[in-house]
Amino acid sequence: MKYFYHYAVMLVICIFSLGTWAEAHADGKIKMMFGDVQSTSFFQKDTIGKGSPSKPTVLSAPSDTVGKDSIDQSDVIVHYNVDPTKPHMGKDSVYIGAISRFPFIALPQYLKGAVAGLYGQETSGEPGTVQQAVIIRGLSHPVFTPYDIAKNKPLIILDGVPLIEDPTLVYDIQDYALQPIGAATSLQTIVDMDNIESIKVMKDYSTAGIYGPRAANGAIYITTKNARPGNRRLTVNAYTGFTGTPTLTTINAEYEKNFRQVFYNRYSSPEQQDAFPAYLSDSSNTSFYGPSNWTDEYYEVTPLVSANASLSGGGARSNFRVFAGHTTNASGADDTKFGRYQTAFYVNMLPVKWLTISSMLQMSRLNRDRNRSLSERFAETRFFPDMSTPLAPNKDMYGLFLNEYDKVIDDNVNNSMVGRVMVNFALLKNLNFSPRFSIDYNENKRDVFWPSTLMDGNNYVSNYFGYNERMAFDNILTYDHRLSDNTNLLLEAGMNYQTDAQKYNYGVGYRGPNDFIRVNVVNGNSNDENYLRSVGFIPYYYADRTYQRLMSFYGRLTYGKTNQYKLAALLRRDGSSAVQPNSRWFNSFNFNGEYDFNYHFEADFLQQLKLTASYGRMAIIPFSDREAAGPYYTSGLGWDGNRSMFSYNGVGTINRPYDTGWVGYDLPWSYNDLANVGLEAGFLGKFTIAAEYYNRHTQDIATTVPTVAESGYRYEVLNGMSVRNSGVDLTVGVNLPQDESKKFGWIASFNIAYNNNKLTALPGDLQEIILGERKLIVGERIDRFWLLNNEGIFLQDADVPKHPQDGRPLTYNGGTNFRSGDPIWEDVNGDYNIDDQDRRLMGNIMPKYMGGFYNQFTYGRTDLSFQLYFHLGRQIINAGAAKFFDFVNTDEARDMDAVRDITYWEKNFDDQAYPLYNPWSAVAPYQAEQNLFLEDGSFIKLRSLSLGYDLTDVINGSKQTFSRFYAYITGNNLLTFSKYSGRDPELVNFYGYDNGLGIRFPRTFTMGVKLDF
Amino acid sequence: MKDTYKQTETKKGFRLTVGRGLILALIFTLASCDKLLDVDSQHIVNEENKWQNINDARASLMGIYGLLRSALAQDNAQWIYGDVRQGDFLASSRRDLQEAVSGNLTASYPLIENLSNWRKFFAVINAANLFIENSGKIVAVDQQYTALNQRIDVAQARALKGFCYFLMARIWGDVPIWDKAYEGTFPKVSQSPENAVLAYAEQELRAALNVLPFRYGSLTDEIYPIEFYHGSTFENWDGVLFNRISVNAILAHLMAWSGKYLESSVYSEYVLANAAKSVAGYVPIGNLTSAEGFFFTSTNSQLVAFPFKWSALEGSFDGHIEQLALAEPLVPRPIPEIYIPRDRIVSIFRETGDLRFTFNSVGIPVTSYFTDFQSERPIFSKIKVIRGGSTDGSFPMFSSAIVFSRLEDIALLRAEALAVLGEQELARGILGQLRKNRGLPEIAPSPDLLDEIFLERQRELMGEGHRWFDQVRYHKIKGDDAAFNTLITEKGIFWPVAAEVLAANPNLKQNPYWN
Repeated sequence: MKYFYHYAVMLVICIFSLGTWAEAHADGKIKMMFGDVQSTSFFQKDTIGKGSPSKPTVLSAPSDTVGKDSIDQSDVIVHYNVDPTKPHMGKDSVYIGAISRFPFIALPQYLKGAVAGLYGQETSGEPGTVQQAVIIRGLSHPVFTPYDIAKNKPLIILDGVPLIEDPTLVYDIQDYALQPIGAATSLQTIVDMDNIESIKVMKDYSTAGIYGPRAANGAIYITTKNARPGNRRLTVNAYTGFTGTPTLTTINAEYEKNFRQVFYNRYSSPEQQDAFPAYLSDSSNTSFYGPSNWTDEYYEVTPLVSANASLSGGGARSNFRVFAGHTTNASGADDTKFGRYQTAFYVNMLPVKWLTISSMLQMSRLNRDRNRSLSERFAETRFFPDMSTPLAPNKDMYGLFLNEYDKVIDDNVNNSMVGRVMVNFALLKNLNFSPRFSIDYNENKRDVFWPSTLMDGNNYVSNYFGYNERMAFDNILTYDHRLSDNTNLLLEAGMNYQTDAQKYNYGVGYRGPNDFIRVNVVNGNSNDENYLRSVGFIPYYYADRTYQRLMSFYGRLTYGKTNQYKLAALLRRDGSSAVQPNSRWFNSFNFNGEYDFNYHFEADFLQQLKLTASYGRMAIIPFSDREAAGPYYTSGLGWDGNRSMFSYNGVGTINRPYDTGWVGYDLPWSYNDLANVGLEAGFLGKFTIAAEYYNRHTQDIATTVPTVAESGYRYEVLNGMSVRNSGVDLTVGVNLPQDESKKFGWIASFNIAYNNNKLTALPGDLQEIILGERKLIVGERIDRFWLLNNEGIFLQDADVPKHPQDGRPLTYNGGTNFRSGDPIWEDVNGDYNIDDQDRRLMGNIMPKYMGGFYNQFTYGRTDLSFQLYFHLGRQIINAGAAKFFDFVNTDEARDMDAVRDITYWEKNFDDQAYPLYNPWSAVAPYQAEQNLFLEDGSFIKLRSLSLGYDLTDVINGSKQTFSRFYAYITGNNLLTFSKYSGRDPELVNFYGYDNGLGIRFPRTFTMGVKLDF
Repeated sequence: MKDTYKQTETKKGFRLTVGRGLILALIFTLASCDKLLDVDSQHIVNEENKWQNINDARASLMGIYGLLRSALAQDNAQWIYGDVRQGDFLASSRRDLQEAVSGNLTASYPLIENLSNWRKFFAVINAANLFIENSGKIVAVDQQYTALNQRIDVAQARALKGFCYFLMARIWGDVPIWDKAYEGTFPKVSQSPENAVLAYAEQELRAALNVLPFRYGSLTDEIYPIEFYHGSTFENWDGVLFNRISVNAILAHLMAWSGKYLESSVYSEYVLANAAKSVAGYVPIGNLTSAEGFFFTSTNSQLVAFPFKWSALEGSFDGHIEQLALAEPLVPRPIPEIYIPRDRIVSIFRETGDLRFTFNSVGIPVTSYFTDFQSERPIFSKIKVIRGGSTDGSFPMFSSAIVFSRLEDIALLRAEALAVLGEQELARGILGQLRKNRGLPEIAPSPDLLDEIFLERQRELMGEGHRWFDQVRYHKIKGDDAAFNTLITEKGIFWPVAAEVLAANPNLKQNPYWN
């Protein structure tokens, strides 16, 4: 936090001293002196959505629309904050106008369906949860664990600051990784939609290359609204609304009893009948057999509120902007809520004419009310009470359970601060030197107390504090030269140094003295032998930290001629502390060019016909510091079910990482080779079409490979895996501005992306590896399920095929004979034994096609817009249905598998669609890993609809109080078209399983205003 | 445009100076950038920083013990290998345990598959091999770490390695032998026959035999009299580390398993004769079954044991027999996962006066082994170390040590060896002493002595992971049970090798019995 105070003090001084000084000199007309004075007008112009439907801009497509950073007005405007890299941000921008009216809080929500090739996933409707991701152009790494998700994420850049994410190292001590310990709030929620000027998606290295190895999976650049000179300008945005409650079919014990009775009648032994659960036996028990109306307590109409205001002003030599806002969001389910306070300050100064200073500071505080599910609670406590009786589906009983939450403490807070100071020295007319300092610091706090009434007589307390800090130092030298033939040469050289620190402390206490002491207090007497040991609770302490540094040097040359061609070359050298010393540095490069054929045609109907191409190689940042050490030692002694064991007889131990895998030497950087070819065309000033083909070959990926068990290691970490992603992104835009009579206007943007991935190599000469429930085969996709092919049911023992030679019946995993009531699974290799060799790759987790369709119609002062959003060609394992059928194992389990949340009493599958197998059979007939539970997960959603009216003239009357008064209503998550039998095809975890843990996305309705004074 | 720049030209000189200065400063900082990238990780230790001082030696040595404890605790391996498989216990509802009880070891349950996987033992062996190969480096750099200390530590590592091979030979029979760490270039070694594995185990154990002290951190120890062993006195090490008695006890077991009863009797006699040197003794019944007794407190009476030290926060939910055997009213769980049926209990404890279980004069059961005997599923509560030895089970975290051997075990083993060798009287004497400790009278000369010895083992060591292996030895001696003979000759007494293990090493062969 020390940085925060230093920075805040500095800012306050800046605002008050220089602000007043500069206002006195505000009339000077000063031109801006950055390299992009020429370059922006000369190269690709920015397309920046303005958040105003009345001033539409074209979406995600080339155009001549000039944003606010336009140079045309630069005779009078000073832009201290302009980023020289801006002309290289590419054409893929998100139309802010399309999303700024909706109650979205997180980046994946802003981006879903907004840009071709961009995949946004929320695994739950719980607002602000960390279980969401944005992925650009497919998976570059196969996803088996929470660690792997981090490897696929793009870099998020906020006003030039590369943001740091929460570390994955907390998973090291967790037995159940449903959520990371700590607040588990997404840091991609720190920016208020109304403070965003533009979002750029950088998909290839002509744009993302400058951001280095962290941007190897692409980058998302968020530009917030900055200070600008001019009259004091006040802007106010506000909305209010509510979540709807879903309609769903609830079930009670009678349903479940009838459901089970069929199986009991047909298959059970007397002992199994004796074990019939008690809660189902007593039909007079109204808690279970009465009305299943738990939904009345679970789903609730919840208000949504957001309000923010910004003030900007100042003169040409110094100006400022202040933003403050508050947002509350909710899912309307299980009392989950999200709150955010955000403030942002921007100060730009020009103390002397060759020196500009601009600074930015954004602070957010995030609060989250998390769900009350048993699953997530027990996943954290690792303590499983007797769960043979689930929560009752009756409202009164469930209400009693919820009343216990009055005693609960569950505080989840994140504080975030992103700051940046940028200085520019105009050394010569065309030569600029710009050092910058950026910091991203965030804290993650969670305090939990669960009373004994919720935990079988044992209460539980846990406290988590973690922080992530990234400081970045940049020095950039730019030389911009305009040649006589109207061509332009831009040279850039830069160095960048980033240092990351991530740390957490976590204390857990079991079984405190009573439910009134909710804090894990430690003994403060330093003479006592129990000094700093917990008083009352049975305590466990954990801490870990990691440091990483990245050093980069780069040079870029861009040469081109306005509206005709451009050629650019980027060379960079990156060194990371997380790579082994002998291969610490990696050379990356990118070459790109574009040519506009319309320069020759000069056809009237054609605005541009531009061919673009780029080819580059980029190192991929290692995500952990473990591999850098080579063969290493660590402290874990734990096993599955008891991860957190680190000592023997109180002595801390140190061993090789037998569980996570042998790490040898010679693990170099992995890298992407990315080729891109695109065509952009604009017709009649109204239509645009952009198509782009890409081929990204991710190479030398280090991966865990199962190894010889006699080594003691479960895996070896070997490099040499390669994954190719190829596909096409297509965007079609229509922009019919309102005609002179201001009647009808239409803006539309349709995007669709095709993506396919393929495993091209595995380490060594391996052709396939098995990792958990999944298998990777060279030549196949990396995101396929590995399943048994279901072909029916053995109705009688005689139907079970017998081996022709020795007459042995078909077996399961070599040991168990198939009997009547067991499933018929295809014996792929014909050895009369069903095992892993009979599993086949089926389906795929990532959609083959995805996209969005946005439309905005304007008529007079009214506008109507909607967004459709789709994923096609992907599959889901309906694990929720599998679990319901597999009730025998659920009843017997004593761990996570035994947990039945209140949502168990919701019917979200077709119980007639599955054969009636013998659920007691040892062949695991209802295992989720068979194509019986594989479903088509394609969907199209009407994601949002809004209606707005510009009231400026009406309200103003003769006075000019408002420069804009815009009111609107919206509806969200309105319709879903899908063949999927579960709740929502989006509520799927990263591994393609719908396990029923995600909270439904709420249907929300809001009304709001946007005011400019 | 030009006007603007003209205005600035007057200050150009100063501006350039500033700029040059900054660029120069930048160049100087860059010169040291490679060094900036050397960041030592905070949660791991690399090879360079390992083997530097006595703390590394201690942490590594404890790591070997810890891994072995994990290997025996995970999936409750110690008890499923030893007690659940075709033993006295029945499984109430869990079908994976039921399959283990009936010896259907290829049944498709994760538990059974995990127990078929020997990787966990090879992790211990790898750690031991690394210690044996590298700990000598510390002696050269840290004067605190004496050559003698290192020699004793290496002897422990070898004993641990030998013990692992012995355990694996008992479980799988034919097992590959790895005698070094093979850093990174892992060979695909094929299985050695059972007797070669046992011979290798014996060799490693014998290498430790004459090096280890009787007691660590004791000035009165005749081998290694030192007040502080790795920083602590005997109070911290009793019942924790392998001492000379431990290794003799393991060798006695190993020899008995190999059928070499003469050697077994020699080793067991050494244990009995020298137990006092490590302050090991017989356990009174009250202490044995107390929540804060034998299984909670580490003492050298636990000849070979792996503690979960409660005061060091090593208690756990998982990896204790209590997790399987306890239920209401001791812990909040409706029925125990494994239990011994009433009639079976009665048939095992058939003599009156037995302090472990008996019916008193009015026919009411008096027992310190069981709780709720009258219920359908009596709870086996001989071992019930809840948390720090509490009797309040509402929070079922356990800290009982895994005890592989105690003095009673070795005494019975010696009696068994003597009986096999024909020394009936000596054997009878030992058995009589043990029976007396448990309130039983001298046995009449007529019954089959060997049967009595094994019956006493069944009663005394119930729930300590011995039953299955005792049955194998018993049937090997007797040879009168045709079904069991087939099991022995066809290697059905062993576990199958996990498919995952076979898949990673094509030179391995599945046990033909399970093919």
